[in-house]
Amino acid sequence: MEKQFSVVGKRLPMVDAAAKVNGSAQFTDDLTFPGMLHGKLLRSPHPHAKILNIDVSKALRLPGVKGVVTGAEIPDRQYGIVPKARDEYALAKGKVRYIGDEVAAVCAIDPEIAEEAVDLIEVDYEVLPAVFNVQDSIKEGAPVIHEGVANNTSFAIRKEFGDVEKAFAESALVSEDSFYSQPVNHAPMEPHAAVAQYDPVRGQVVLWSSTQIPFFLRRNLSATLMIPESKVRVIKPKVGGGFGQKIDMFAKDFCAAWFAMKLGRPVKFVYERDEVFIVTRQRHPMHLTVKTGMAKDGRILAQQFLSYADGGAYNSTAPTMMALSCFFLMVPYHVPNLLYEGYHVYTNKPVGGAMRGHGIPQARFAVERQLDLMADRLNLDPADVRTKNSIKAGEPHPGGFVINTCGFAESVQLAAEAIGWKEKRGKLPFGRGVGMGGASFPSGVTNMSHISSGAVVQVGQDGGVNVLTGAADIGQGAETVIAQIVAEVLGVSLDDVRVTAADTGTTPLDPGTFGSGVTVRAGNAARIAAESVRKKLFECVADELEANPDDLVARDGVIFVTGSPEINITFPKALKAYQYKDLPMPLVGRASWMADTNEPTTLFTQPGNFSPNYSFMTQAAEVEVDTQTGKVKVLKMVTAHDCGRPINPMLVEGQLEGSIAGGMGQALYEDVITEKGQVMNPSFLDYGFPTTMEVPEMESIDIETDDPVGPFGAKEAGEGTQLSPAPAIVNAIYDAIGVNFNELPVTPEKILKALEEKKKQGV
Amino acid sequence: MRLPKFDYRQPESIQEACAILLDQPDAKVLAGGTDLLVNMKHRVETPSMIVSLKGLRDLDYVRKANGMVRIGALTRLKKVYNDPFVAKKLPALAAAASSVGSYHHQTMGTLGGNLCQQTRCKYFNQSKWWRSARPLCFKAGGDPCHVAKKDQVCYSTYCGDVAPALLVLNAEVVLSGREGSKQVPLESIFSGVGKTPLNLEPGQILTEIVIPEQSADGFSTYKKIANRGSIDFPIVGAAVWTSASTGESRIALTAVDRKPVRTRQLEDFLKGLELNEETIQGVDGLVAKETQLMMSSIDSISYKRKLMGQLVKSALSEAMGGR
Ligand SMILES: Cc1cc2nc3c(=O)[nH]c(=O)nc-3n(C[C@H](O)[C@H](O)[C@H](O)COP(=O)(O)OP(=O)(O)OC[C@H]3O[C@@H](n4cnc5c(N)ncnc54)[C@H](O)[C@@H]3O)c2cc1C
Ligand code: SF4
Repeated sequence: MEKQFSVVGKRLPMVDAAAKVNGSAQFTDDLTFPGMLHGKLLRSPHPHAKILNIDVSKALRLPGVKGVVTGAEIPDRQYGIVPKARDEYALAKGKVRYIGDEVAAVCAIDPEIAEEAVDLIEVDYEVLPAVFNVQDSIKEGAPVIHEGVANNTSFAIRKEFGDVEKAFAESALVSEDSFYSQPVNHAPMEPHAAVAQYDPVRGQVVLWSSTQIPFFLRRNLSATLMIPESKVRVIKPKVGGGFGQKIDMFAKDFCAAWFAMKLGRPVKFVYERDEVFIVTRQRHPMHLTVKTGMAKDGRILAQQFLSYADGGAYNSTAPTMMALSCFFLMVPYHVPNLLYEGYHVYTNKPVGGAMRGHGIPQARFAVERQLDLMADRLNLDPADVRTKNSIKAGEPHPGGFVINTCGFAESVQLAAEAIGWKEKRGKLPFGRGVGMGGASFPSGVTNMSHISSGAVVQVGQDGGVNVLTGAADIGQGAETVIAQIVAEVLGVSLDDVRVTAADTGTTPLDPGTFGSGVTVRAGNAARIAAESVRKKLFECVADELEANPDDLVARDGVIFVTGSPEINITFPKALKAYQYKDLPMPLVGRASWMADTNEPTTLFTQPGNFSPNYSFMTQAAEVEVDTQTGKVKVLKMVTAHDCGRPINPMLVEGQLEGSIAGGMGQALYEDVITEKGQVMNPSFLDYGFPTTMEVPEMESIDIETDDPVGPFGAKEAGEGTQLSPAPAIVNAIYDAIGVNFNELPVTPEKILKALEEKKKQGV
Repeated sequence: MRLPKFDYRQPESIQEACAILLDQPDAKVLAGGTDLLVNMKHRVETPSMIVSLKGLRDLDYVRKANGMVRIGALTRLKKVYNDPFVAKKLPALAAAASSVGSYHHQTMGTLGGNLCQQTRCKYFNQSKWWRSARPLCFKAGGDPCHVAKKDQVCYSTYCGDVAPALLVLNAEVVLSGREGSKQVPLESIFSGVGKTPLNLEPGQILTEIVIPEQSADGFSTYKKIANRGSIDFPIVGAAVWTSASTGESRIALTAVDRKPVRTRQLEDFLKGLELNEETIQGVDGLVAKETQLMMSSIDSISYKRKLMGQLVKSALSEAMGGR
């Protein structure tokens, strides 16, 4: 039998792994240019204040300072990743809304002078009353954070289908429980940075930025600098992690470009670690009340949600976040009747934004916890409840999603087996327990403007393949996956493929890295582009092989007739033949890909499909609680995962492992602690996310489904697995010590307190 | 974050170092720099001059002589815990030194620097910009204390791991000045004053740590609870030394007060008592009494108090088993 694939599905190291290991990979801060200047931002020390006056004269007089800019001087153009939710200026105009809000920027010949100059800027503030939580912020008479936004509620959504009330009335058990998820920081290893250069002759700004979304950044820069998009070129060097935090434009991007344009010299901004913690983005803290009606056998009959997201001072991705948080309550379980109400509320605190899972981890935590609570109340096995409620491929979906493949029920069973569910659940000694959580995630979105990717594949005379893609590899391996797809289509090896990526000046349009759509969207574009190259080659060599071009296969450097591998021609010879026939070189193929566009653009008011395809997973944890110190040790985490056909299983595992560490952080370790709006732990040391030493034994089980839409059957593997580890851990804690925690994180202190309470009550 | 500007000197002898320090009252000694440089970047310490001890090569040793174990102040923590005698006979010291920060801190950080490290506070160990959101606190040069909510006091916490271990091993330290050197009990160098936690005279440096070899005879251990296994200051750390022959015990804690604390009342309580489950249960109340916990870190007082009792009890239980 002919083997199916040679490059796809292989555990191959990332194409840039060696450069990252030997240190030659260039990140934004590694770039230096002759005459480069260094920028620094002055930030608000107040959570809420009017800016009465800014005196920059002293700063300007400091030798070495080349420029200072304040909000008063920049164009009156707000930015934001979601057009209808734009509410931010690169530098505050008239008012600051949280501790860290940008007030002015300085640019000097070295970073030390820039830092010194920032201290010389004198700002008169009129301090305003501030609010630090949702409850206070929505109250009548609360301080107004953004003019014209009533109750500080910048975004409200409501989605409803079926008849929730009727279903509740028919339920054997209706439970209402409240949950809280804390603010979590992405903490990428590489701090946010930007370098800008200006070409006064062509009037073009070039910005190198540590970003996930070069093309959106170009648009935001163009809008705020008030120059055409064609005059802005954004280049993404290597990026050391993003997790959603680098989806927005930041003051560093705007100010670098601003100064470069004004001063005609390259300008660099690099954020400090405390800036990354305080002034970029964080996962939204969210209060969520869930009311679920269940039949006696554990079937979900209806769910009703009320959620309040604490957005901090600005919107960032608010509408998208709220929408995702809502829509992804419709998978992986069949919810026939649903009512969701959600509110995004401003507070004078750090800004919430996209973070791995984007609104869904908070919702998933609530639902997965409540499933366990209700299974307990109905005396059912939580694993059975999950399988029983699983949606199924090909069946009508109450919300209108199109589910072509779904390995969810299988994932519950396999995860349960691997963790030893039957033998362990409820049977381990006190202090030890197992728990699980399930989830599903989209591979990008269907039918939204600009959510479309292009690719160009070019084969040179020596057989080297060049791929141009706009996909933004931020460390997850997007370039590797795209190279594997192209190599597979052309039947060459991964080494033959070079990827040039993410430069709005040279590479095709791509929305960037978010929504876990890169592999499906940019991967499909690359696949089709490569296929068009292959088609030309096949047509050229078909005569020689006395075969129909449709019967040819390219694999392992050879083109052969399907079923008769002995009738073949090598890839280099085929290329030569192509040239000798006086066909034009280079061989180029290009393609654009977008998901099915027949779907409604908003799912708030009508049913419809959200994504080209959906990943499914169950994660099961075994934990040990130290009843003396309250510490929770995660002993093992199993992931049973349906991401279609993994293009590179090793990269998928990397994502799984990272998500387990992230989920442990969310469940046990991480919390952006604020006191009156000030972040108390803005460092790697004090924030305290888990490290390698905390990471448990990890087992991953691949449930291969061959998805019809994804390239080579692939689905997303980036964000979905971030949803289930936290509830799995907290559910396991319940199994271990019999305490239900509905608020994150579950700190050792909370555990000790709960154990004491328990002792007091004599249970 | 960048270092502020400073002059740099690298003397070749202790005398020279002391002379420079006397001359430049706001100069600071630099050993491994893992504590000092971070504070300088945060601008909570801004010495006009750094006096590097790198040139004093003869302060890097662990040796035994005349019934004493002598360790040079510049000995790296890693070398301390890898020393065969320390590893085998002074387990409390080995455990404490190997629990400091991460491996990197242990290869760069020195024993002297560890003992002399600054006290810590969540309002103090922050960048200059961060701190600008509040009035400058007392320790950083202003008046108020954000922890105590009053003026002119400082409750920053001593968080060094090694001091409690050395305290229970009855260590002394050699302080060298221009006029020569003197040996004093380690405990005496900790002032208990948050703003100026060390009792060093101008121009004085700590040059040697001296541990009586008798301390090797008892049982000793250091136990630390920290957030993560790879790095982190102690939430609470406790060292215990007990002697089966004399029935004596010595107990010291860190991260619970402005200095490392020897819990003498508790030691008195345990004196002569047989260590058993019952006596051990009695320690909880006593431990708490001898420390002054304040909200200077993000860990709550009540949690620290619980851990303190747990740690001492578990160390004592181990001591019981160790006999
Ligand atoms: C991320 C991080 C984690 C850490 N975790 C821990 C931890 O878990 N436990 C812990 O104990 N420490 C920890 N530290 C603090 C520090 O790294 C260690 O205490 C280290 O041992 C300090 O030694 P050093 O030689 O680097 O000191 P330095 O930074 O060189 O000096 C520290 C202080 O002592 C003074 N000094 C140094 N040597 C002498 C001397 N011979 N005489 C007089 N004064 C002197 C210096 O002037 C300075 O004020 C941590 C630090 C960081 C940054
Ligand atoms: S305890 Fe008070 S004075 Fe001391 S460092 Fe903290 S805030 Fe400053």
